[in-house]
Amino acid sequence: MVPWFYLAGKMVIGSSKKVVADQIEEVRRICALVVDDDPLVRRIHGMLLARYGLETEAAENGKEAVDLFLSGKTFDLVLMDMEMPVMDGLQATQRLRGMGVSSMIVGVTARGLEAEKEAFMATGLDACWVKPLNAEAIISVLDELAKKLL
Amino acid sequence: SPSSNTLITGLSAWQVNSCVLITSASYKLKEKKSFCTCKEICKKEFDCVVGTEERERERERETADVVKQLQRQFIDFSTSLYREGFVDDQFAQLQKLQDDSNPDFVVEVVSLFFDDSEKLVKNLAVALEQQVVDYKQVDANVHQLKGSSSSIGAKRVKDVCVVFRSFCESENHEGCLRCLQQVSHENSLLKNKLQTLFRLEQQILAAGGTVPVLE
Repeated sequence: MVPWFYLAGKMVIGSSKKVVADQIEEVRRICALVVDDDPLVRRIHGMLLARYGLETEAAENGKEAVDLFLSGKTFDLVLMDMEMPVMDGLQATQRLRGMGVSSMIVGVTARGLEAEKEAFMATGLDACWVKPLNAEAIISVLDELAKKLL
Repeated sequence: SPSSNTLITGLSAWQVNSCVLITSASYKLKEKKSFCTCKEICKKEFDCVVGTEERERERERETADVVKQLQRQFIDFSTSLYREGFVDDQFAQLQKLQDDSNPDFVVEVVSLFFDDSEKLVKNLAVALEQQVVDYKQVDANVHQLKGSSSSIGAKRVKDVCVVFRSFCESENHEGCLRCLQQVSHENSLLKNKLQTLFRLEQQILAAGGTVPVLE
């Protein structure tokens, strides 16, 4: 398990605090994008991520998410809801991967049906969880993110 | 004119431990004051420093007792919400997310939920009143309600939604109507319960206490 911890109020990925402390000037905050058409879920998932020190933004559907990336923004982590109007999670994930986006994309579904999760994963997700996410799920996602970023 | 606190004439007094001792029992006061509590030293009705401090301490003890009582009420009420299945662990997660920089997070999220759920219940009533019911539309609304209730840990509401969805699938009109009634009822019940919970929190804070965290 790759350790991640807080240093000077910022979430840091590193093997030892001493090593990282020397490079503290280069540390930046990890950014996440919450994509969901439900404002309640955007608020809750956004808050959960912010609690672990991530800087978060939100998008109401897949198209808004894709537009954010097209505008030049980058995110380390994307929480992508499956069912959304305008552009759903499957289409958005396919588009993003097609654009060459290598961010960690975690799918979030309301139903835990295996077939649906598999179809969603096949579009290029790094993981798929059933909502609502809780602290345990977020920690698990951040552990995976830490491995990916190092 | 002499203040209501002073003795009128014919008396002498000396100070002992900030209390004024009355050498004579005959005095008059313009207005009656409450009894000084340092009864061993002072006599009768006037404010002395020691008495005032004693009354302050008494007030603090009473406030602390009030806070303790409110905190006990809060713990008992919260525990009952979980025990009776009104809320589940997801609600506890939301409470843990609230902190000094986001002191109204739970109230905010709960308000968002009830705005949404009340609208969905209205939509469901309209949809089920139609001559030809569009069960896909009904199901879509129930699905959304199930999602929201799940997000805030509204267990009873969510459980009704699960049954509701199976009636949508089998296009059972009677079953759907029963579920609509149940979901509306559970929604109202939960709203009242959470309003009581938030009121208790406000009372504790107003009395200068801190809201207990349930383990």
